Amino acid sequence: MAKNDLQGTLDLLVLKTLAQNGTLHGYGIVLHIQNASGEVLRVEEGSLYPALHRMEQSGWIAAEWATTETNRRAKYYKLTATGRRQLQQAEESFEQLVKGVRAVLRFA
Amino acid sequence: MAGFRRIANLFRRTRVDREIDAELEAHIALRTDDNIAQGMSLKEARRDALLRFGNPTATKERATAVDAALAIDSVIRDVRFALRQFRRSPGFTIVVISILAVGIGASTAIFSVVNPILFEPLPYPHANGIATIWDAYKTQ
Repeated sequence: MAKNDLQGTLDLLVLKTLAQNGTLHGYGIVLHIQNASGEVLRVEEGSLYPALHRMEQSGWIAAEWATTETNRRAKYYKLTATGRRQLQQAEESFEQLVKGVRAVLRFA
Repeated sequence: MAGFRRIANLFRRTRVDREIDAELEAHIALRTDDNIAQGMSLKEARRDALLRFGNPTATKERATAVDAALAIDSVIRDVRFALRQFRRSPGFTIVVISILAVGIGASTAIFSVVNPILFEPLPYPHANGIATIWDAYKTQ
């Protein structure tokens, strides 16, 4: 059974983004997901920050304050070992979900 | 360890608060910078960044709630709310308190009579060996 919902999908997107980019701040994550999805996906800040903090509390990501290229202080997130395992699970779960939904759509 | 961190966060709520404020403010500032780089005026850039961010208070509340599952905080708030409600309707409060007082008092009184008579062993050594002896004379 694939366990997935919209919250789980946001987690997956954020984890994957961090896995691909190393460390990023929240704004960077929003930009990356927007660009990488070809402007199809737009992450709401109102969901992103609670999700980031929840994942930080769960130990999937770690945060650190650092200075941006434009000399501003921002909170940068990066994946932890637990987060990497979580990402793998989430990816598999998402594949299952897509497979399941597709099978239903194509059912004749 | 997540639970422990949540509890620890309860005691440094203000610090967590300030950090979330700074984080969200940084987000808006970064978007403003980008907007300016794309040719907007400072005012326009900031306005657009704020609009796109949505409701910062709601976002902050939700992020804070995650950081410190504010259990202890909300219990205190619930108690305060209850006390305020009591003060607002003294008649109801008096009725509730007297019902509780009479109920608890009656139960306690009855139990303290029943307990030594029916449940507790008699206050003598070898209480289970005590017997009642009687005799009946047939009068003719």
